[in-house]
Amino acid sequence: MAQRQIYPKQGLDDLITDLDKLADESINVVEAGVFKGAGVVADVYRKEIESIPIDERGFVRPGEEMLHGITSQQKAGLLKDMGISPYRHSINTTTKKVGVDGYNNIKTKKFPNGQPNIVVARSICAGTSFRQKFNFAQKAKSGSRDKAVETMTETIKEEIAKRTK
Amino acid sequence: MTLQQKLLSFANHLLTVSNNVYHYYRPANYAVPYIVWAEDGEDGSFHAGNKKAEQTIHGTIDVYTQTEFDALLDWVQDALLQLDGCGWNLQAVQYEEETNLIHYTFEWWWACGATANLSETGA
Repeated sequence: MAQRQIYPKQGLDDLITDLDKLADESINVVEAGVFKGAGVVADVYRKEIESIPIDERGFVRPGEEMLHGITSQQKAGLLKDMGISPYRHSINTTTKKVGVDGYNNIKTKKFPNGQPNIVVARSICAGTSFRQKFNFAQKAKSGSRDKAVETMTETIKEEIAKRTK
Repeated sequence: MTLQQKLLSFANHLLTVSNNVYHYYRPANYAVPYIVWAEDGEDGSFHAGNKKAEQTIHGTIDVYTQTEFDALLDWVQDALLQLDGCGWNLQAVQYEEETNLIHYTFEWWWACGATANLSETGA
């Protein structure tokens, strides 16, 4: 009577060899996926900043219509200083952040070095009692999630395939 | 319910806690405290059988008050707790130095069920 072979010895050895290779290279595989995913998110983030409406008034007094946007200088500051952070590794996670940093060139008494871009971004994303909310960060997050996950999945599959040929 | 019927019922629900409730933005003349709410898109909808099975709307509620420990915030939270299928959190609390207003932001998600059957609406 023929004996059924469920795990051919050679196949199992090959699988163990592949898993050993991937264990040594896993951080590089993950970083490649996160890099591509962050690029997708950053592209959508930039488009959403570009779609923020312009309102050159800058401030309003009580009884006036709310601000419906930011000034063109504030928008230029956000576009100039948006970017992607370096990798951040914790025990089971590797991340990159997409956001804004630095200062624009609107110098005021409160901000003699220029307004921090993160303060401008928060003001327009959260809204205030005098500025209508335009949450471009939330739009970027929900608008890029599916494509970023798909891109990272494909990249990681390619990286695994390269290393297990 | 259609999407717009759901949003209208959300607006009416908020009106049970305050008369000063505005959609998208507040008018030039307003009284404090007041609430501004808005939907801003879909987030976490569910698809099955090659079509959308459940649409989850995402939005925010902003409450502006000059009263410390304002009971209005408890009423807003109670109103959100009463809504079946609504997830929410108190996303941020900020103090506006320029206006002395305390600004509370709630984030909410509401599953709307399957989209309207066009033949039922007569469209």
